[in-house]
Amino acid sequence: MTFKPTDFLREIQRSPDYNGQIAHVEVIPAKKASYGELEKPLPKPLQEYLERWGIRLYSHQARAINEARRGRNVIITTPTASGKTLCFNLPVLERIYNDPDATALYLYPLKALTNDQLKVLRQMEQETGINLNANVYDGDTPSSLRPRIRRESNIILSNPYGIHLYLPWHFKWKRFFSNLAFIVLDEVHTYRGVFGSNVAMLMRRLLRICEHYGSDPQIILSSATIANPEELSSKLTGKEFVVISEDGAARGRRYFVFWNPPLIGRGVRGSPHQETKNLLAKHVANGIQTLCFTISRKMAELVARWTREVTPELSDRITAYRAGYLPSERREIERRLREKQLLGVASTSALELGIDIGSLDAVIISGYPGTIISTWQQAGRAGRGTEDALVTLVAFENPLDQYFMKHPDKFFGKPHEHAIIDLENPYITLGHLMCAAAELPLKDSDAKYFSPTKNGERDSETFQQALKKLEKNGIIRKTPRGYIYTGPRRPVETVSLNSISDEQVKIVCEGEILEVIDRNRAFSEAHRGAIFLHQGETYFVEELDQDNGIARVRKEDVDYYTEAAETADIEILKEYEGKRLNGFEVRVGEVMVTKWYTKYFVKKYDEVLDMEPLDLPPIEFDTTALWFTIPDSTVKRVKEENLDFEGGIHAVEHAMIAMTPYFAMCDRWDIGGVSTSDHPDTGKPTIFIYDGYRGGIGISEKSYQLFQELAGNTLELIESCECEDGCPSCIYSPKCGNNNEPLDKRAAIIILRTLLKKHSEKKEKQTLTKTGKKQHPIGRDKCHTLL
Amino acid sequence: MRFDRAVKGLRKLLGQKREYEILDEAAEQQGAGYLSGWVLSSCYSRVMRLKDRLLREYEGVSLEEAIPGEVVSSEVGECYLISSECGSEFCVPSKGAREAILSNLKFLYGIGEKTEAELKKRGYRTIVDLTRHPKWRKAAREFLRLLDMNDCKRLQEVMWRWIPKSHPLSFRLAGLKRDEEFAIIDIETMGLFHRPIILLGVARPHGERLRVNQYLVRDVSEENAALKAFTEELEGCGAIVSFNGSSFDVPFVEQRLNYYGLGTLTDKVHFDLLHFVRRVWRGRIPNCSLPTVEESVLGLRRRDEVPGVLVPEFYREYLETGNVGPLVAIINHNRQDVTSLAHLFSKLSEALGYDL
Repeated sequence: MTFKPTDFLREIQRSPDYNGQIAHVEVIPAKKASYGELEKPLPKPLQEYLERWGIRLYSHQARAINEARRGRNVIITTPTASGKTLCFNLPVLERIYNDPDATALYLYPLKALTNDQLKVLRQMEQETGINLNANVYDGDTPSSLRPRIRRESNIILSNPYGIHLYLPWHFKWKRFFSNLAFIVLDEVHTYRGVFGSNVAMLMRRLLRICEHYGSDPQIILSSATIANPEELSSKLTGKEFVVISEDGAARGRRYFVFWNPPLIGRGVRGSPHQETKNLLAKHVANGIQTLCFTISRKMAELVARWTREVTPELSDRITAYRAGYLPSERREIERRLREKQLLGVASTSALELGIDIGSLDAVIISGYPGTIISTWQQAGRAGRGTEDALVTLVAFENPLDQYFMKHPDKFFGKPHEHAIIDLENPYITLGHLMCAAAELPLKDSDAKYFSPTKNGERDSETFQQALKKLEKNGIIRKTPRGYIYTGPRRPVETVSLNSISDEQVKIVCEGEILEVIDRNRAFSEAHRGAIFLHQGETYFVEELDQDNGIARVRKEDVDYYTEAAETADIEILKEYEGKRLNGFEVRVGEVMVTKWYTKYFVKKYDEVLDMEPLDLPPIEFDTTALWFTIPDSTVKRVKEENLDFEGGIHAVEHAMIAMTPYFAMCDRWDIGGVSTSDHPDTGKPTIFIYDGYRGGIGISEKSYQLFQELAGNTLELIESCECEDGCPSCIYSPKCGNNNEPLDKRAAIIILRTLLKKHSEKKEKQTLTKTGKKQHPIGRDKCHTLL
Repeated sequence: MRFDRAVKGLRKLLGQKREYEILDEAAEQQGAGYLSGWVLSSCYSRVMRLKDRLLREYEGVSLEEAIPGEVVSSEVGECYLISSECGSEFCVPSKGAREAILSNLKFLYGIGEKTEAELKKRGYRTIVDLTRHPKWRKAAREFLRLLDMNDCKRLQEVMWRWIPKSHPLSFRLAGLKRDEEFAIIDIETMGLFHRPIILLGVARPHGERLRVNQYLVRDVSEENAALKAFTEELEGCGAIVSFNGSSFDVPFVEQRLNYYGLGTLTDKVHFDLLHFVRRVWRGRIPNCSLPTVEESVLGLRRRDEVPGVLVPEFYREYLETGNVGPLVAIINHNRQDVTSLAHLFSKLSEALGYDL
């Protein structure tokens, strides 16, 4: 029985409890496959392997292989399930077939993925007879097996954390590195922010060591669709890449529904969790095998439970899925899915599912997962082969969720998300320079790896400066052979890939270290009484020992969460660049931020249950920020309308912070803001948006670059919100230390309109009306015709 | 400037924890292991006082005045060689070594306990006898060849397939070498791997005397020259003796040789005394660290001693101030180390019941 999404949706709309929740239906048409030709045939065993499995190479696969054969570095950004794995496995296997000494390194951000890929490679090895001796080499690999793997494997699969620790012992890897032909990185869009910037430095250390052993490996990157693949690939490795983004794979038709809980008051919407469980129940009752993605593990379990309550006769066909299950439990669920015994599965991230879960008929995404990429990755689980598929995104009362509901074109249009990597944060780069000095003496010629390129020119001055500073502090010493590491601790132990080399706090549970985080983060997420999230599990923080950098936690299953409220002060240290936009002065540069956490909220779903005070010292850190000043004329205009100017800039600050992740692939917790009607450094009303990480992580620079678009989207967000005076979906911030006061929605609109030179004559085009009546850009009627 | 703040932050992070722990007296009873890097707080205070005293004593004194030695030059650079001599307690348990090894038939691949017992019953008492045996003659001849060539490295590998590294027979292998072939080594470094080696000590038995050569790195830029000179001296010997050298000294030297692109240490048969010390004295002495073994077994108590874990700090002090006082302590410590090892070697022979 084939699944017909249109019939199902019609039924939903006809049912008595339907309340207009469908905000938009995007019909993504089916696509025929577009095949490609290889410039030269593959070696016989590989050709036969493809023929045996009935695989014909898609255009993007053929192109990737052709380019790889030409010795180019390639980044493939086609969607999930487009066969990206063959794009790198075929060139690698071909090379090993032609040169049995050649080696390849595959890096994954998650362990589960390494194991999946190992299975694939071993299967290919068996079927083609090409000897790969592929092995995983990571923290779980027993030390007795390691020498043999280093000595004999052609393909080694690992992760950045491991390589970081193994590089100082590179002489044990001499054979492997001397023959390294390919480095493959998968899920490359995860290498962004702090983690990505650290991995970018790690890649340079790795390539430097390859050069030492005389190899020059090609790099193949596989990524989800991002707006800046050239930038990401270049920043991640320092090399030039060919971008392959045209997807040749066949696709079934997909119906992507935007589902917004109905308005139940002025600007207040119903519970998205109710919507989710009812939707899942309807899917399951109609025999539609559905995956439901939730924002937390707890939520996944709750959704499963509630859905069972709605459809008790189907209780045993609904379950929650956690990565923490034993392998046997996972296999059981996978089997029950395959045999159609299970109809509804609730889970968190798509990656946790591994490849054995496969695809189902429909996907429900409860709450926008934070990036468009993750949304598509989850959506990608819907649809078997070329069958019709149904994806439903249920919106929460968050700015971005609501923004997409009202502006679906902003979701479905061209990619806007930039993966951000910062190669100039000395808090990150210096740590890796230290590591590099311990791997091989650091020479002037190493500037080619470690100096950033400014306007196409290598800035080796910064590199020299860095070396001198490190030397002055006794961390390295200059010798005729180069700079040698002489620090008091092993460098790789001091540098953590997940944080900025800063004061660190260990999260300890029953004597074991769960995680190591930055001190800043510890204040906001691991203060006494906080609920700390680690790999989807909740822990109660018993104590934060600041002196020793330890947060003691205990495992506790709770259904509430905590959010610390912060206030901040900011001082301008240096301006990098500036521009003027309709009388507003916009800048990007270095600032010194002082943050206070004075209280925290205890919340359940979005409701505040309690508030507790916090007694923590202020945190001071230097970082990068974007700021802009508001001209007097605008201040006047706002006051003339009897609106609250302070409330206006405060609202703009919150809304802009909420919109930044749309462009910069971070979340609103990675950035912070300060707005003041009179800043001592500018002498004018100013709004600051700063990177929440010491030294900055590149978000401010990107926001400055795209400032006009950012401001434009922010205005759209506020204007199209149906609330009267502001709500969590537009200008409220969950971490506002001022209790979200003062906030003035109309003032904010005036400020932004002036900034973007949108005059009042254009008022009739506003979608907001004073009575708060909702108006969707694509109304119900439109949906009807689509169906 | 961002850099300054960043470097300061790094410095702070590096200094946040030492590579060793300062423990109170009670902890010693738990027998903290050799490499866990600990020092008792009473010892720590004493050593810091020693450091201050040395800094005062050696203020303005040059290296050559404080520690006579000579500069060694090569194409990779210079280093400073300190030579000394003392009486030797080193003696190799040669008597009966060859016979003891040959009487263990299990060294041949395929012969287990049962087979050995049977063969011995049938009159094949030594591997030499087995050269007449149709099945085992090939393996026996190969083994004898190694023995005759004195290829102790290969013999050790073969033996370690069947016996633990701490087995007395493994020690007995030393009996096949002459006293002069041995090199007793110990290194001092700036930390646990990934940092420069600052002193490489080699003691060579010579008749009744022990000749000690210590290659000192006066400045970090001399490390490669010191490594080169050290490895060249080792070329000329046939066996190495160390204390925990198989986990520390040898891999460390290898890592640093590789760091400078200076090749590798040629494989020599290596007698790591820690293995044997554990076998003989574990449980009978508080722990198996070299200072404890020295005291309990050799009856030696060092004066003005800087413990190994504090050597990096002493060297850093010398690098930063130019005052050679801390260096003196390090060099004395290292010299005493290799001398004690020579003595310990003979004590082990005794304890394992061999005639010297």
